[in-house]
Amino acid sequence: MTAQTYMNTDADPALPILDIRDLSVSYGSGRTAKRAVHGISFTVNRGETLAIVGESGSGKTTTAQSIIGLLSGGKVDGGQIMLNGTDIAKWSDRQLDGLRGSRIGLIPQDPGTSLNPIRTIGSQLGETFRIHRYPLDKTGRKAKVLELLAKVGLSSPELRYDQYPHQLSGGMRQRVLIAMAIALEPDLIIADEPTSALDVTVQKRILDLIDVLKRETSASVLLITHDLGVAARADSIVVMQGGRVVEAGAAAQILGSPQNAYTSQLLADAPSFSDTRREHPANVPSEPADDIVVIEGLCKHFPLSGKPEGLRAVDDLSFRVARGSTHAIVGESGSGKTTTIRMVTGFEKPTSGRISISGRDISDLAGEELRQFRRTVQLVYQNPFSSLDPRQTIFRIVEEPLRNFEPLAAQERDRRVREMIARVGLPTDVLHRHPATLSGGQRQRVAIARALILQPEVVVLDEAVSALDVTVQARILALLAELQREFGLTYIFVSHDLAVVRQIADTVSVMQNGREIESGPVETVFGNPRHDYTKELVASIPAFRKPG
Amino acid sequence: MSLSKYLLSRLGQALIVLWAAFTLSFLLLQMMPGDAVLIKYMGGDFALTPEQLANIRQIYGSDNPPLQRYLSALTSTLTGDFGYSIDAGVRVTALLADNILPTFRLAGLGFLAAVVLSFTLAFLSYFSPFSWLRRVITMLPSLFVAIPVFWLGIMLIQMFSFRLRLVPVINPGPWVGLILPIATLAVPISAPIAQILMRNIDDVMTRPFVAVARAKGASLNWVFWKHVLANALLPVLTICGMLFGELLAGAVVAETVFGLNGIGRLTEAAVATLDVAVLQAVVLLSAATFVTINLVVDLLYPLLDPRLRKNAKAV
Repeated sequence: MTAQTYMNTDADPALPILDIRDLSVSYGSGRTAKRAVHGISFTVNRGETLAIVGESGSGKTTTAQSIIGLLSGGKVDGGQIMLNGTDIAKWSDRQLDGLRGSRIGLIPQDPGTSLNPIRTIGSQLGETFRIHRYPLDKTGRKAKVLELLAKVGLSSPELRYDQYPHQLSGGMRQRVLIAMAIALEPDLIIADEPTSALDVTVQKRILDLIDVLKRETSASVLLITHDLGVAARADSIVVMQGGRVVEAGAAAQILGSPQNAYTSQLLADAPSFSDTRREHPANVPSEPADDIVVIEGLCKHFPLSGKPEGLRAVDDLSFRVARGSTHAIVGESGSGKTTTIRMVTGFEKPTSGRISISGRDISDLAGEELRQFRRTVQLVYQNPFSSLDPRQTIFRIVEEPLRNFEPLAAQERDRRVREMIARVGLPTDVLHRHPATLSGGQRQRVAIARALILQPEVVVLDEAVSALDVTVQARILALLAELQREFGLTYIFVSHDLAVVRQIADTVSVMQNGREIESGPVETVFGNPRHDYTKELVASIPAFRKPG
Repeated sequence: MSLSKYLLSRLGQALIVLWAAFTLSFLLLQMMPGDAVLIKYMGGDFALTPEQLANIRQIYGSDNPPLQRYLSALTSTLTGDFGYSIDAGVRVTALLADNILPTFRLAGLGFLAAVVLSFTLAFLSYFSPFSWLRRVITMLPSLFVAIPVFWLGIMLIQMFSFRLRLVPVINPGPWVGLILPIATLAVPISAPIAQILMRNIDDVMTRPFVAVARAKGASLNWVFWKHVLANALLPVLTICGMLFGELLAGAVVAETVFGLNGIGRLTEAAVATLDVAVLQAVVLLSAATFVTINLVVDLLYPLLDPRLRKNAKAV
């Protein structure tokens, strides 16, 4: 089914809220112009939620920005943007000012940076009424704002009114931004990746809130997302790739029986939809005694002014990881995941407790001993863009650990680096390039190569696939599984993404506020969660129970 | 930390800075060859005998061993006594009192003019409907900073006084005479302010909260005044505090070129005659003003940025 036929078979007699016809958008001008959206068409019906799904570079955000007239550096080349039957594609900025905020609301991607840091919540929310010259005096406006704050589920609105953005959590800020978007009850709400910067449990609550408010204000929602799990909540889905619509239709149909190969690929790669778990060579530990990582009663307290007991970042954590298996640590920001892995990798000293790796207690290692220990445990970080030195070539980056540890001849180093680069599936010609010329997935392969070149026993993967698009994510996860089999590696996999954890890990520790609240094999913990928090986490995996 | 505690600790830091400035300048001035007595009384028809010179030095105490001189200078400075100017033969405090007001007036007005000039440039560049005008304006600060103050002063006199005869050179009124020196001072000081302001406005414009405000229907004008400007001002405040040193240096040149009385002129004369007591007092005065201005800047931050308020805790 193509986008065109989808539009034609739309039997709703009422005028659609949004009707995009043959829209083209490009960036730059003259010879350097680059088209980002190629003549796409789709329709958002009244009261409907339509999700545009695609990976980075698919043109989904450009599409959203062109509808609200806020393309930064880009321009609409052709086509129509019919809002309630009026073509606004060629409207001037001044004309659009009247529509923005009143007829079209926007929920932005990152609540952390989307509020003015130096103005109060109340003044930023009340601003919408002032911009559109609502006949409200100061008290009337305040009453409206308080009502809105309560509507989006914020506790003690009076208190929030005078607070500044930095005093609110990410989830609370996103609620404030949602309140802004719905303040004047617009016909269309554009939600641009509204939850991708939030923790999973918060994610679900925010999506639920958008659904409720949509119904209350009878608005339509245009949801922009890279996450098919999030898109599954929509009524219809438009799949975009390279600036074109590759498939469009009802959500159940797209997810149930995708016609397009790319959609099928996306579905297969989305962790929340794939039922197939990778093969587990080490699923059952070969012998019970062979636990390469043993953590017992681990605690880390940070001194905190005014609190004698300090901040308990990690509180009595214990787990064991069998050689050759994958142990996941899951939890939200602030749960103590990062502190835990900093201790496991020897960057932080535990306040108390024992960390034993490969039969060696590392809690008291220092100096040269600690340096040598780092060969055993290597790290792959979350952000493939900032964890590689931009001024070094890929060869240098992968070679560096060898230079630090092994007195090898240059030729031998060269051979090992080439071997490792080939092993992680990169072409040889990347060796003399710089990180900036590689894609996110390629960079993460470089980071993996750098970690593996010292032949470590344990690799700590800190949100190692979280910043990647789903298809790339799937390939990196497959590579990790392969390497684990080949080298008998043990992984400690830190993630907030339970769908990915379910796919890759054998055992899991669920952390909350520094404490381990549940631990065990993934099937047991996720299949039959005992703790309330784990239940909530599992329930918030997008589309967990929907058939793939 | 409460505000009074904060102020106390900052005051302590300020005293350390002042002591360091005093000691360092004392050391440097003592290392200079020659002294004021020699410069004033040697040579010419009034040349004194070495015995007479020694006598004068004894009166001023300048023949004592260095450590003793340092300690006596430090203790008298603490009591507010900066000693005598050898060249003028009057108390240094009296010299300062005569010259401090004109200089503060010149520096203050020069700074004000610099702020007005730089903000005008930044506004013009933001609201300019033409991209070529924007490009020209953004290039101006680099030009401004490259112009030497003395050359600019001479050029302004040449143009406005001699050619256009707008500002009289001989006996101008007290305020008319300040116009050209203020302009001379303001141009180089405005350059870094304008540059940082423009760069920050551009930077803040790309932040997501500006897009959110635009999505609420706010016009570019609204966004600028309500969201962008205040956020762009913080780094400008920092640079303003640091520019004070440059302002003082500029005042010295401007006063010399335009023949105005003030600390700058006084300093220039004191350097020429190695009048150590005067120089020492000027250094201390500059350091004290510098410290005060930066303290004021630090106290202003929390007013502009709620994130820096100590009592604001996350709930």
